[in-house]
Amino acid sequence: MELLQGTLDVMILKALEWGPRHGYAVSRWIKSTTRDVLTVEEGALYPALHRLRRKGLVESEWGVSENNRRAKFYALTPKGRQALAEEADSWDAYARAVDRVLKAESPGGANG
Amino acid sequence: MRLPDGFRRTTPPELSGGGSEVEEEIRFHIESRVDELVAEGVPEAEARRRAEREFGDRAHMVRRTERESRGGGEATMRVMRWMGEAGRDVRLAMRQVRRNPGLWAAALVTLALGVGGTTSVYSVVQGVLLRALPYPDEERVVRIWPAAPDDVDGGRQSWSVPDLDDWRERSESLAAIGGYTSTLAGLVIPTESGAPEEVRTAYVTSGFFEALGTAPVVGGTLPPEAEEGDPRVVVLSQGFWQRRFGGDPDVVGQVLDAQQGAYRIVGVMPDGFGFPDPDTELWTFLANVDQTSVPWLLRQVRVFDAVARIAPRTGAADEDLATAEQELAEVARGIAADVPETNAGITSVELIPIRTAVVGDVRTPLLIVLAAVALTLLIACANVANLLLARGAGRQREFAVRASLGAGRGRLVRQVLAEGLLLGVLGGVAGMLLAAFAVPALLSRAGALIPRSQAVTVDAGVLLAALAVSVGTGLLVGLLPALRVGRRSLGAAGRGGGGSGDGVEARGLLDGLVFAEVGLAVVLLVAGGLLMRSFIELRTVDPGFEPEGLLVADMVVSGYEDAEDYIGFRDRFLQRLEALPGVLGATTAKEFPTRGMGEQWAWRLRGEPEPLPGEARTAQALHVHRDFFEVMRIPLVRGTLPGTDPELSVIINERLARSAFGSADDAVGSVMVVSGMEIPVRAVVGDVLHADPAAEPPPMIYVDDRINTRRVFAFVVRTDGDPLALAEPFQRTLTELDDRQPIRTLYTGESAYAEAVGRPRFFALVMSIFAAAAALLAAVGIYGVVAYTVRRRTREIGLRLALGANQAGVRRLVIGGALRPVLGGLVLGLLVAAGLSSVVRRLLFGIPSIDPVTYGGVAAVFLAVALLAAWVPAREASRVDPREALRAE
Repeated sequence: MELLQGTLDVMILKALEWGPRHGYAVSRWIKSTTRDVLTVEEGALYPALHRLRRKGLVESEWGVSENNRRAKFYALTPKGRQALAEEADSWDAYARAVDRVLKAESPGGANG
Repeated sequence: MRLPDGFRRTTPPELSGGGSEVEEEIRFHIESRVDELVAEGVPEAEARRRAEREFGDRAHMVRRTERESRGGGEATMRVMRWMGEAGRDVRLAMRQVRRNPGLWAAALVTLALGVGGTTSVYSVVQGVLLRALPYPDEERVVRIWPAAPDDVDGGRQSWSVPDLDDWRERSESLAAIGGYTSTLAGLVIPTESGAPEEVRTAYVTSGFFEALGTAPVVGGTLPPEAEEGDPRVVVLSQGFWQRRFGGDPDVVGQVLDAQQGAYRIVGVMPDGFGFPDPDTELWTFLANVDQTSVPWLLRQVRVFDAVARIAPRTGAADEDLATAEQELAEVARGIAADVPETNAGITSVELIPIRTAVVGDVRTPLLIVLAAVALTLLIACANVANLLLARGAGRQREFAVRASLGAGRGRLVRQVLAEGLLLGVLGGVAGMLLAAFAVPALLSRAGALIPRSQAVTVDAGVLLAALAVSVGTGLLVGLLPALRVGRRSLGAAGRGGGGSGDGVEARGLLDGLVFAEVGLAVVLLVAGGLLMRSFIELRTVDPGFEPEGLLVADMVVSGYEDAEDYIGFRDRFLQRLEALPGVLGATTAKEFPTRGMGEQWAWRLRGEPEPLPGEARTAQALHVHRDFFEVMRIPLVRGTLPGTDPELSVIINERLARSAFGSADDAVGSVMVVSGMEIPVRAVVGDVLHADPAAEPPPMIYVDDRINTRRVFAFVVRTDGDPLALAEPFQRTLTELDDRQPIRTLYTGESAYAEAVGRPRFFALVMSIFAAAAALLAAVGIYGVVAYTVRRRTREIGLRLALGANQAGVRRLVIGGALRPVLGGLVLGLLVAAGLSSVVRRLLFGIPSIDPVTYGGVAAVFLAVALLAAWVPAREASRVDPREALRAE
C-alpha cells in the first residue's frame, strides 16, 4: 500500500513518542507495528527525519548505539509532541471515514 | 536531550573513512541491518545486498537528506512537490473531462468563442488605438485647425500657405509647422503596360517632415533649402520603393520621370509611415504646383491642412499643448489685426493630438465593441461558472470522500481551480486559433473602414493579452466553485450525500449569477439593438440619386492647354462612352457624391454686406457636366436644367434653397453672390447623401463646369447591365482617345454608397453578432440554472404534491422562483443601458438613444427566454410522482 502524503511524518513522530531512537530503530518500529503492510523505502526515512528536525518537531544528537556504533538519535520536541496529538485526531477521523466509505451500501451517483 | 538508558553520548563522528555526517548516519543504518540479518543466519554478502535493496538508492537518499537538512533546497523541493501535485490535479481534471464530455465541450466552446472574440477585437484595438504612431514624441505632434467663432456649418476651414508662414515666424511654441494637401493630382508615371499610373502624392511645405519627425530609412527628407531653389525633389514610400525600384539602396540621386517633369529622389520613408493618407506614396514640395492650378500664394486660398510639433517647455506634453493653444490664439489675433481683409474672423485655433486626429472617428465605436466583447466574455465566464457550480453541488460526495481520505481543503480548492485553469488554457488556445482566422477575415471586410487597419496584426502582445484573458477567465470560472468547496468543512464528509443540504447557499449563488448574466446581456442587447435599428434607419435613407447601374472613374486630366481643351477632351470622351453598347448615359462631376463634396465656397445674398473672413456662410460647390442630374437621376425640384449653350447660372439644392431663400420657389430666379460674382439661380434639385450619412446633407451649389472649369473629373456612366462589365470598354475607349490619361480609381455607384454607410453597417453588424451571442449565452445560462435548481427541488416538490398542492401551483412556484433573478437582472440591465446611452448616442442615426422599441423588445425577448427556460422543467416537476420524488435524494 502506498503511503499517503504526510503519513510518514506522522509515523516517525509516533515512533519517537516513547523516547529517543536512532533512524534504524524508527524504521524497525514502523515495519513491525504496521506488520509490514505499509512498506516504506527505508532510505526515505532520512530526508523526512531531517525535514522534521528543521521544522523543529524533533531534535537530534549523536550517541553510541547498543552494538557500539556511532548513531544519530532523534527525540520529539514539545512542538513535535503537540503536532503528534493533532495528527492523531485527524488520523482517527481518517480511519473512521475510510471505514464508512468502504462499508457504504452503494456508491451512489456521483451527480447526486 | 536525554538518551535512552545504556546509551552514551558522543561527539559528532570525525567522519571515519571520509564522507559527510549524513553518510555516516546512513552507513550506521545499513550496518545495523546487516548485523541483524547475519545474526539471523544470512551470509554476509547476501545480507549486505538485501540491506542495500531495502534501503533504496543510497546516493540519492544522501543527497535528498542533505538538502532537507540544509533547508537550502526547500524552495526547490516545494516547487517540485507542488508541480507533482499540480500534475496530479491536471490529471484529475482531465478525468473530469472524460467523464462529462458534453458539459466540457459546451464550456470549452463557450470560452473559445469568448476568448476568440476578445482577442480578435483586441487585435484591432491594439493596432488602431494603442500601437505607437511612427512619430517620435507622438504626443507633441498636433494638427492645427482654425476655430472661427461663428463657423456656420461646423465645417473646419483649412489654412493658406501665407497663414502658415506667419505661424512659423510669430509663434514660439511651435518647433515646426508644415502644410500639406493630398487632394491634388498625383505625379503620373508611365508604366511598362502602357497605361500611365497616377501615384498618390502629398504636396507639402517645408516643416512637414520636421513636424512629424520620422527618420527616413534611406537618404533624407525634403531639404528645406530646395523649396525656394529647385523644388523638384521627391521622397518615396517604402511600398513605392519596393514596387518600382526593387528596394535599390542606391535610389537616392536617381530620377523619377513623371509626366509633370523629372523629380530627383532624396529619400525613402519607413514602412508604416502613411501621412496624410495610409496609401500616400510620394511626397514633394507644394512649390511644384503651378499657381494657375492652385494659387497657393494667396492668403485666402485656404485649402491646406497643417501639422505641427509643439516645442518642449515645461516638460509635460499636455501642458505645453495648452500653453501653445493660448499663445497661438494671440498670434492669430495679431495676424487678424495686421491683415483684417483676409483673417479678421480667425481669432483662435484648435490643436488636436495627431492620434486623435487619425483615429478619432472610430475610437468610440471600437471601444464600444471592445466593451461588448468583454461583456460577452464575462457572460461566457458566468455561464461556465454556472455549469461548474451546478455540478460542484453534485460532486459533494466525491469531495467528501477525498477530504476524508486526507486531501486537505487547500488541495480540493486547488483541484477545482486546476479544472478551471485547464478549461481556461484549452479555451484560450482554441480562442487564439479562432482569432488567427477571424482577424484577417474581419480586416478583409472592414479594412477600408478603419483607419490604421494596416497596423493590425495578431502579434505577441495580442497573444499575451489573449493568454491573460483566458487564464484570468479560467481562474474566475474556477474561483466560485472553489470558494464553495473551500467553505465546506471536513465535518460534512460524514454526511456523504448532501442531496438537498446545499439548497439556500448554492441557489443564492446561482441566482446571483443569473442576475448578473441577464443584466450584462441586457446592456449588450440594448446597445446592439440600438445600432441595428439605427442601421436599418440608415438603409432607408434616400441617397437622393440612384446608385445602382453606375460605373465611376476618378481622373485628373492633364496635358491640355486651356479650359476649353479640357472640356473638349471631356466631351469627346463622353460621346464615345455613350456610344458603347448598354450605356444609357454618361456625365462628369468634379467628385462623385458620397466620395467627395467639392469645394467650400462662401456665398451671400445680393445686397448683403461682405462678411468678415471666417464668418461667411459657406456651401459646397461641385463642378458638374450639364447632364449630371439626369444621369445620376437627381430629381429636379424647380426651374430648368442647362441646355447646350452655357450660361452664367448655378443650380442649388433644396437645403440651400430653404436656408437662403426660404423655399425652392423663391430661389429660382433669385441672385446669389458667389466668389464675388452675382449669379442667378436657375434651378433647385434634390438633396444628395453625403460621405457621412448620419449628418444633414450640406448646402450645395452646382456649378456648370463649362463656365468654371476644373481638371478633376469623376466620369459617371449609367448602364442597364452590370456596371463592372463596362470597366474594360471604358479603359479601351480612354486609351484610344488619349493614352496619356491615367484612371485614378474605378468603382461602382453602389460600392460608393455602401462605403458611405459601410462603417455604421460594420459596427452594427459586429455589435448585433455579439449581442446575439450574449443573448444566446444568457438564455442557455438561465435555462441551465433553472433546470438544475428545479431538479434539485424535486424532493420538495414531491412533498408539496403529496401534501395536496396542485400542479398549477407547483408550476407557478417554480416559474416564480426562476423569474425573480431574471427580472432583477432585466431591470438593472435596462437602467445601466439607459445610464450609458450617452456613450452610444453619437453612433445612432434616426432614433432616440432611449428608444422604446429597442428597450421594450429586449425586455420582451428576455422574459420570453426566461419563461421558456422555466416552463419546461416546471412542467416536468409538476408531473413528478410524489413517491418517486420523496425517494430521490
